[in-house]
Amino acid sequence: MGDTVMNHVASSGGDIANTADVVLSVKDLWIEYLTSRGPVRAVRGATFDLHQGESLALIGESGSGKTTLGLSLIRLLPHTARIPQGQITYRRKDRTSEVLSLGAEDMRRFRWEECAMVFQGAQNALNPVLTIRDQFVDTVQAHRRQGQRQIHERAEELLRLVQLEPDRVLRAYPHELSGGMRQRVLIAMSLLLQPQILILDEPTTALDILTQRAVIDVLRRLKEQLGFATIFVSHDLSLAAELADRVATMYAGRIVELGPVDDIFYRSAHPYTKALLEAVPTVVGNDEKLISIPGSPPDLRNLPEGCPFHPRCAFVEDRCRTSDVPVEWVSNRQEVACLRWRDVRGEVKS
Amino acid sequence: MSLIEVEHASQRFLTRRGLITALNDVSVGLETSEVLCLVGESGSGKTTLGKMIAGLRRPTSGRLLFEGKDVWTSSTEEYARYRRAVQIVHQDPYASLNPVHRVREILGAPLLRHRITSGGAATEKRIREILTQVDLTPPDDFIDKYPHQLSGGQRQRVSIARALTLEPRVIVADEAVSMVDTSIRVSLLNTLLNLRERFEVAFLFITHDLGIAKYFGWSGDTAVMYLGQVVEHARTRDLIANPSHPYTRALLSAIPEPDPELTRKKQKVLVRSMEIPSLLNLPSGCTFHPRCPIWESGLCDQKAPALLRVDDTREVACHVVAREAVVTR
Repeated sequence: MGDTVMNHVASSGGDIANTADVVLSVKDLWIEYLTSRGPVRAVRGATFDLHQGESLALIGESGSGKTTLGLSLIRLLPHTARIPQGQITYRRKDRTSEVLSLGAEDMRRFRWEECAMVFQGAQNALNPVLTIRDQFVDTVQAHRRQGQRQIHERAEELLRLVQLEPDRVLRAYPHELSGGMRQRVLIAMSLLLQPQILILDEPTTALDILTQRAVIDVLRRLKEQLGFATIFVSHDLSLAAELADRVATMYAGRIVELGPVDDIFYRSAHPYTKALLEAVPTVVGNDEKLISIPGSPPDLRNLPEGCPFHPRCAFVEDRCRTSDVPVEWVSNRQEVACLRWRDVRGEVKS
Repeated sequence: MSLIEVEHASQRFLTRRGLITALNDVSVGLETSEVLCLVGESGSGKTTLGKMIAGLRRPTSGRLLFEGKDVWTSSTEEYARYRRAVQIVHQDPYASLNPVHRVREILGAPLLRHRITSGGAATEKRIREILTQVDLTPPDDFIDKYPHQLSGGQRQRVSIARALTLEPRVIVADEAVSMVDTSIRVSLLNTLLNLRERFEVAFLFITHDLGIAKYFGWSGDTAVMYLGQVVEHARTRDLIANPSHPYTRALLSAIPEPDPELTRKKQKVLVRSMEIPSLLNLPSGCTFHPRCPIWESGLCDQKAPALLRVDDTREVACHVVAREAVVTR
């Protein structure tokens, strides 16, 4: 399978042609949910590589497919989901594995040891009747034979890294900790088995501003010190601006734009990314004009023909209403699915 | 005479774990067609204050005045007039609309109940007018719909329309755009701003998002709340450009910006502790002192600061800031 990855990256040329440090490679992934009214395609042909130590933000609104895509990477999709097509390839120094064809026991090991996830509303993901210490021990012992002592040492080290006092926290039950503390406990716990990849779904949503800041700073520091790769799923552009090396914008199940954070924010080539940025206020600075995006997010059951964003797009042309939109390379590191990306970058509206 | 005046109002709740002071001696006012944004973190009392102003909670002590009259001691007719004049838009449009009623009934019921229209064609005409005012156009596409047939943004517009049926003077919007997707949030805010201009509605706009407060309240005021008290109250533009209270400064500096360079360059004001104290066990003196970067031992942990006017348009509750302001004057 190495071939397919090489092909995809080779077509990009330049900067990221080096596949040596790709830890996760998603190729043409389709995911659908079976519903009483027929299948709904939540993810449509997602393709991206995750490099060692990088942090990739999946940005999108509700229904864009970002959480579905995140969950599929560790195969935690609900039973009604199906993956009719696509590949998820995980690489470690000496071996590669196809995540979608791992057996049950290999999959169990893959989760947390290789790829850990911190869920949305993670504050409620801890077991209420066990102390934090017991939950750390259980987690390690589900994967490795390790003595309590060793586990403690590792737990203490990680808790200090997330700015918590190990003595106090390890003895506590979840309800004795604040939301922000629980979130940091989960981040520490997710790193217990030194995974190469950490997936975070809306890691700061529902946290208060100062707590949110603490979590952001902790995530940045951990990434620098431990060097794992992160994928975080969020609706929050500010979080991407803070934490991401690269950003993928999702709309109606597709990755419509992918590139380095500065290119996405300052040289966006997709009208949707651009419109989102114009719709979000900065806090400091003067009054800005915010521009609203007309219409509403699309119904996945009933997507418009052509480009799914066309009914809301300021750059729409006739061909957008009918033709399929291929992903094109804007530069050697930024790709976009828009027929008019040259005009979008150069700001020529129809 | 202010449209709405809250005078030294407190709100206490008796819970199983003890007495909670959700609002502690708060005074704010609202003028016709003015915007007042209430910002703060969870537990700051912003929703409690909103509910008090909407008449849903009687203050434990202090007064709520509507056009100069004490709401809770006024006559039945005056009270009814007040209840019509102040309407509320809730956060969750999935929970605040009756799922078994169509838009027509949702908007028709208050019109008939308050005898604003007499039913039949007049009511129908008025419903269509209001739908147009909240940009649910053409009204024919929406009037026969049930809430589940509408998107989140459209539902929130129905909630706004429902508030408008009674031709209110004040709308309390409690996190009214927080659950709406980014791409449709701005148009919803613009609809609200238009109503303010067209009908001179005043807004009490409650939000945890200072970016949204800045956009919506740019020409109005913002009050920052912390543990049941207003700690800073100023014109929104002044508050954003030049925050005074150490808590306001910490908040503004902590918020990530949707701009990579801006957010990297932002100077962070560090607080001494990440944890918000419990309302059951508030710190002595200034309730912010255990987290405050500029607190002074023997002063801030002893004596609670009053909300003092430090310049023409700004009030701050901080010993240190108040002292410096006097010195520089």
